[in-house]
Amino acid sequence: MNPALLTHFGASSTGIGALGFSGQAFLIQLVTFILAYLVLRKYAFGPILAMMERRRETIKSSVDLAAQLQKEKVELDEKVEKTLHEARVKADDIIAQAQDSGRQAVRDAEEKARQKTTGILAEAESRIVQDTSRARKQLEKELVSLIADTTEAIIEEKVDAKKDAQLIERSLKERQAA
Amino acid sequence: MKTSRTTIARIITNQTLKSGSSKKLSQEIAAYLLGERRVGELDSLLRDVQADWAEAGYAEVLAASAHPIAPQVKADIKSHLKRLLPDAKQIIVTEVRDPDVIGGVRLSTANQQLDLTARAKLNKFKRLTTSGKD
Repeated sequence: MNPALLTHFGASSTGIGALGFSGQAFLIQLVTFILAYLVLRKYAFGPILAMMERRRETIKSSVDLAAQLQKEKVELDEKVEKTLHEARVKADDIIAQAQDSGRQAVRDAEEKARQKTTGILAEAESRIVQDTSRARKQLEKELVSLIADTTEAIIEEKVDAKKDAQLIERSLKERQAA
Repeated sequence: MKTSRTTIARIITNQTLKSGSSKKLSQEIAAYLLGERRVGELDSLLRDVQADWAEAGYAEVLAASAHPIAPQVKADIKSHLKRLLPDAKQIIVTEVRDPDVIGGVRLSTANQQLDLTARAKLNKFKRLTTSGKD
């Protein structure tokens, strides 16, 4: 501040000067301000404003990008959640199918084993019946042979010429009667 | 050329019916069969001779028994055979000893057999008691 101006404004002791206001100093300061303004407007405001605009745009694009990213993140999260849900459902289905298949396989195996066991038992029973029947028949045949052999031995021992003649006579009579 | 068995049987039948059986005829037949290597046909030849005899009215019946057959029994057999063979002019019963029959008699002609033996009855018993059980 110019000391002369200060002195000038300070020297006035009447009117507005009593309040410490100097028109000359004001005018000088106004001109200085206007000049500063014009210089700044010509050389500084444009780049500053452009820079501010760029920063604003940068910030805006960053905010937009962030919003976009946030939106994409939300969508991605939703997609991931949906995919996970589907995967879980699918996995549950696969597990359920696998369990069903496993249970069915177990049931099939049990049924097959049951049928096989039944078949083996039936075959064994049939074989036992056959073997028993065969053994019984064999026993009967052997018994009959034994009876016949015994009878033959007894007849051979007991039948002499006289009894043989009686036997022939009786056979002839029976034959004639028949 | 080989003479057929039926021809030989016919010749033997004619000879035996005309002159009866003799030791000489038997020897000639045996020599012929040996010479021709036809001894295996002897049984068949005898059956053919039996059949030829039967045609001529002479029925030879072989009576197989385990013991000698008493004359009375043989007569009963003949009378029974007369009823069975009404066309036979003469029935000749030839005894054959066969212990395998055990008891009773088996009467055989050339083409018939009447088995009245204990062996036949035992066989029948075996057959009936074991039939259908194999």
